Amino acid sequence: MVSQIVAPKLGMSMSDVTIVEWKAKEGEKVETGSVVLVIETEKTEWNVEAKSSGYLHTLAQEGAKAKIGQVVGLIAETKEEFEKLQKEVPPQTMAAEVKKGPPAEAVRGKPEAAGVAGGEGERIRISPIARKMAEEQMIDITRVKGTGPDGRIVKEDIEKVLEELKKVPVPPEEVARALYQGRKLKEAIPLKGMRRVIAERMQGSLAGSAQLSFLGKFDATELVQFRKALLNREKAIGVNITYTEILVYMIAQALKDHPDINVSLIQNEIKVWEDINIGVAVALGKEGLLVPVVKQADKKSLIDISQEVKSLLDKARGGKILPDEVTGGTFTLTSIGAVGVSDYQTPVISQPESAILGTGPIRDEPVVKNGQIVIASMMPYSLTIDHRVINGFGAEQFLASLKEMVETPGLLLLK
Amino acid sequence: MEDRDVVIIGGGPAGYTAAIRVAQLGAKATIVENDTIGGICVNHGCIPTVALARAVELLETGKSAKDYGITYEDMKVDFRRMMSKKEAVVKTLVSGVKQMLEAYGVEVIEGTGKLISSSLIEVHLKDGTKKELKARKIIISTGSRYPKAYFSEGVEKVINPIEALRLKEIPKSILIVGGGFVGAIFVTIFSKLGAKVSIAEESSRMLPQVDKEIVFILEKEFKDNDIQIYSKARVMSVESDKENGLNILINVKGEEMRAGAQYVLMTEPREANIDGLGLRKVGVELNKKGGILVNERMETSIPGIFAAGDVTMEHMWTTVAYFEGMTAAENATGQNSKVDYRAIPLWTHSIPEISCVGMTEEETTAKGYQVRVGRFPFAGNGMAAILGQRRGMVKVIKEERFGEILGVHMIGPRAGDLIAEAALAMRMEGTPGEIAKTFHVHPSLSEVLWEAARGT
Repeated sequence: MVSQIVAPKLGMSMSDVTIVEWKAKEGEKVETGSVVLVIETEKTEWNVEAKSSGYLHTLAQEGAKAKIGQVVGLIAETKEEFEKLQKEVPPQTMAAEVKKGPPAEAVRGKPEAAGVAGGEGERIRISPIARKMAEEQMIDITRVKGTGPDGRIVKEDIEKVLEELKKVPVPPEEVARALYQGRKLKEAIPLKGMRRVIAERMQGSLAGSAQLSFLGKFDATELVQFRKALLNREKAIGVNITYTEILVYMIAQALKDHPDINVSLIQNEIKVWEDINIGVAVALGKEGLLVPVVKQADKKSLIDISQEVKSLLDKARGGKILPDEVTGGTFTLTSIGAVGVSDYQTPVISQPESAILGTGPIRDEPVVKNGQIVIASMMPYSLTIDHRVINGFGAEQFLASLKEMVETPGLLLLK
Repeated sequence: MEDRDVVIIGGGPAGYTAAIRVAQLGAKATIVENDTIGGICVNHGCIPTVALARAVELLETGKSAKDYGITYEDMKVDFRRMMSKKEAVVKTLVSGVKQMLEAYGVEVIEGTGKLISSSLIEVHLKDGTKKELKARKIIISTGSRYPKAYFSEGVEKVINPIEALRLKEIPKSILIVGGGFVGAIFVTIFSKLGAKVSIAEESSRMLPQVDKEIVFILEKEFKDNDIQIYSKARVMSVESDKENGLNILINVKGEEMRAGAQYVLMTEPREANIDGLGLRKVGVELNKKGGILVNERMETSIPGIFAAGDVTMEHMWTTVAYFEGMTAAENATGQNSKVDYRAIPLWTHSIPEISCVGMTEEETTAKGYQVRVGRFPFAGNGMAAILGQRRGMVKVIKEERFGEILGVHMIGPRAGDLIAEAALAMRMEGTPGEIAKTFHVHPSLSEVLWEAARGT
């Protein structure tokens, strides 16, 4: 028996995914239910599990794109079946988008280039099969010489290019790694998967907007008491409600009063969102960062929000979050929490949102209240806004509303 | 001695096509022909056989005409008229080919050619004299023939297809040996004319090149018409028997049995027409099948000598011979061309007709393809209902990943014409998707392929 590993459909608008990493090598034994493959959509990474036990035969290279429903790997139940597969179904037939040296670079191009030559809109003669192969293999057909009738590019021509690509010598990794511009390298990690997405998004956000941060502290003494009271009644409530969840609830309420913060600048238009969707940034070790979104948080109870946040975080940590669950945010909360060392940060906005609130660890500090030095639990905050659409005045007003709620949680009864 | 550009020995489909192509490319072509221009196809094969198939088709049409309110009083078969109509068709086409050769200025020498060297040919003319021709390039397209004798020599009424086309009477009974494309059409002709027909086929079914599902429909049709099919059968001997005509010993699936018939028609085997050509002397090598060894440019082992058509004993279809002739001509006149043997459409005018191009589903699975299959019955087609010919189906087999069409097989009315679209789609590396997105006339039989393509 041979079972297939198929690129799954994870969202309505998805058309393809990127093969990020094979968790097992070609020919390695995998078990039913074990994660064999990590794929990536524009938004998330997803762990694909083996449907059966057996020997893995990979059909797609890391970095390659695969269409939804496409078979990207096979699992052969027996060693004999595996050997047969290796012979009959060529491995790595879907090559990666990575550069493999000059000849590869010369023909591999963006798939968008397919069908357009020289920018003049000149039609390229190519057979339907050849076109499909070229698209899948990321071959730039403007650089392929057609040998069919009237110079038409046929299947054989694409197969020849693929043969050539296979021959391109890859320099031994040791040589490539040892020295880089005179400095010794320990490792060269390809920018891929979630790291690449984070890199592109963070840089894109800072390069594309005017970010201004407001730093300060809320007196969270009553909030701490409020949470303690909730924890004492955890059994009755049914969930362990965290500060993050309470903050999601409070932010949603504050945004209701300050729609000017709940906006996006899209194509010369400031879109004021009716929906209040709060993203909650979650760190996945050193490498990962995901922002699951609580949709319409202003319409949900604290318990609902608490349960939803927990469920989303579990999914994110398990590599099982869907693209739809990490998109559509209108405001982001990034909470460093108790593990944090720093009080302040300058959070980077998750575009196309216009504001992000970071909170630091709550610490007991001496403060002056009514002319006396007293101990209070202080929560540092850092609010970054997009100054293109929000002014300092608006930001301060939003912070004032939030401050009121944090400092007097009882006010939530009025909401 | 006058130098000739290209001398072609044999004026059949490969030879006359080569001659015309040579002329089109600006060189002088000479054909040496020892029988009639047009070769087996025009004179003794495709054309006269299909002309007879047309006659029995008319008979069928005439029978079904009453369903449409038209009654032919006194409808009967006049076998002699049928044969003379067939001859008339042959004559028309032979003179058509001759006119075309004349129009292209092709020289035709009537006689038997023999190679003396790679550039010299000796021709034994019909008047008994000899003539030498000096040629820059030579194309051998002498075709194939049926063996002179099959079993014990001298047994009458063991005939080949050429002799079957010359019969003076409709056989009372006939055993057709070989259930291939030639066998299937003769089964249809003789059974529709009232003969008791049986078939002996060596493989487990008729027409091994055609998909099983399609062939089973034909075999059922034959069986329903009281035709006996012996599969895995080999005729061991044939003896004259005064009462039955012929006493035939057949080994069927390892067991010997006897059958009687007035005639035995041997559609297989065939052999290359190479006797007396002087191939060995000049050094032209043969292949394992006993035909002339050629590459895809139709070059033989001797530079300057090309071979095309049945004489190679490969792809023995007129359909292919045309291309081989053209390719030989192009290479003989300094061009560089190859025959691409993918997607050869095959056809036989059985009733219903059968045609195919590419692989059968069995072949695709044996080669490890992951396939998807689309089928559509003629029973679901408007035009087939109008024609009153609703038997049959079209089957499209595509490779799953890129959608390449691996094979199209059909049985039904006008299958021979309908297969052209499938062959073109395969040649252009199209997918069933392209066929599905192409407008097809309504109502027409072509919609059946369209529907089958949509089903993949």
